[in-house]
This record gives sequence, structure tokens and C-alpha cells, in this order.
Amino acid sequence: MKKVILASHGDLSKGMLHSVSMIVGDLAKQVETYSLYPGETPNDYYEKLKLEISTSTDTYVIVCDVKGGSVHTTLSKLMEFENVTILSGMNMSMVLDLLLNQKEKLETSDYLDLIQNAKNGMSVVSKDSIEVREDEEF
Amino acid sequence: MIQLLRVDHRLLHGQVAFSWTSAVSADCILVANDDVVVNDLRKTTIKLAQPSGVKLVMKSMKDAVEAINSGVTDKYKLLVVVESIKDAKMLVDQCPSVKSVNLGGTKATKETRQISKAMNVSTDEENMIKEMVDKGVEVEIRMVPTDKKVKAESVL
Repeated sequence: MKKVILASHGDLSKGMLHSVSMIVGDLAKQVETYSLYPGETPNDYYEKLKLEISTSTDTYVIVCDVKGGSVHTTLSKLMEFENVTILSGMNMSMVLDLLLNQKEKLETSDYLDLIQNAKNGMSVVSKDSIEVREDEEF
Repeated sequence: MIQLLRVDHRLLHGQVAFSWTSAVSADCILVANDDVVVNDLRKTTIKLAQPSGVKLVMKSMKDAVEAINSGVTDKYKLLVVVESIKDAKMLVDQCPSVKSVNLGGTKATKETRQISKAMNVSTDEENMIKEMVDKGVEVEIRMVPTDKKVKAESVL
């Protein structure tokens, strides 16, 4: 089974889960969240996860909020396990793509695609963007 | 081949662009709407929701009917989105290949009553749904693909 964990400083991860549920419905039920609160250390969660992962055959995908933050650096130590992949720079398209991907085990190239799509999901529009671009045809 | 015909007053948005496109493996989305084709602002915002690797075509209702019936859409796994039950009924009536309608969401107005979390229908629209069902067309309510199908006739 593929286990997805959203991990963040504060409630971003919980909010992200709420937001993606609006779009993917029950698919989001498989997702776990972790929130680090002021005064806490991510190490406790790391130890808990480490124990769980070391006795599990599931694949884990851990999506962290910001690259280099303590949530990300601490949980990244879980990369020692073969069944764990850690992503950073959580955004909504990234999480949606991950949940909608039916593959049981994603390859490195799948994760690179996922990140590329997440980047493509960033855009800027202003009045100049109202287009007269040629429409697509069948 | 039409994989899904969806009624959604928001046309192409998150639930459709992400969940439905992926659930029915669509490689082409047809937005059939008479206003969108003449409204550059709406067109531009709809294009923002185009999923990567998926073709997006926008047509008036009349042109959409012609395209579907001409066979040019046969090679695609097509997801058709319309704004209203009236527009869905037009496709059902004029395109023999349409066998099923998914009701996603319609806005509440003074004339409508709520038949599900996101569906609000007027008396006229209720009659249109009944006519489609009587023709043997499946009319089902689901916001997202993981929802359980609810037959429209069961809540009228």
C-alpha cells in the first residue's frame, strides 16, 4: 500500500488535506498529516515513524512544507529506508497529482514529473493575459 | 468516445480538471457553452484549468453537437462539460452517442430546489431529467468520482 504523509510547521498539512478532499473526495482518506507546533521537536514524530516504517512493507511518501525546514530535514533521515520517498515544497497540485496517481510504486522519474507539474501549476495573470490565442480544435 | 458528460455550472474547475479527467482517463476536454466561445475573459480563465497533456476544445452548443456527430471526436477519450441541465438535454436529444449524464453541480436560485449537496433544479429541469431518463439515458449525481452514484430519478 502507498501511504502518503503531509508534514508541516503548524496546520498547513491539515488545511492541505481539507482542501484536497474537496477535489478528490474519499481518495484523501488514506492520507495522514503531521503538524509541528511551537515548542515541539519533529524528532518525536520521526522516532514514531521510524519504528512504524521499519516493520512495514508499505511504501511511504512524505510531503514536507518547506525545503530545509526542521520538519523536512528531520523526516529526511527516513530516506535510509528503501520504501520511503521525501518531497518538499508542498503545494496543492503536487498533492493532488500524488493522490490521483494510481501506481502502487512511483519511480524517480514519476516524482520528477510530479514536481515539474507542481512547478507548472504556478502562474501569473493580469489584464494583458486575456488572450486571443488560437483555440484548440479536434 | 464520450467517457463522461458532466453538468457543472463552474464548467472546468479543480474537481473536473483533476479528479474526473484522471478517473475517466480523458485525453480531451470539450467545454460546450454558448457564452464561453464569445467571452475572452471566461475562455482565458478556463484555459488556466487545462490539465497538462490533455487537449482542451471550447465550442458553442450547436458546434459541439456537430463535432460529436461528425465523428471527429471518436478518436479521443472525451470528457464533455456543460453548464446546465438544458445544455445536457440538448446533447442527449441531438447526439445519439450520449447515453449517460453526470450531474455535478448547479447553482441555487429562487426557482430551484435542492436535490443533493451540490445540485439545485427547477421544475423545468426536473422535467428534462425525467425525459432523459424515460429515453433510457442514465442520469446520475456525483460531485467527485469516489462519491456513490445516485440516480437522479430517485431524488425527484
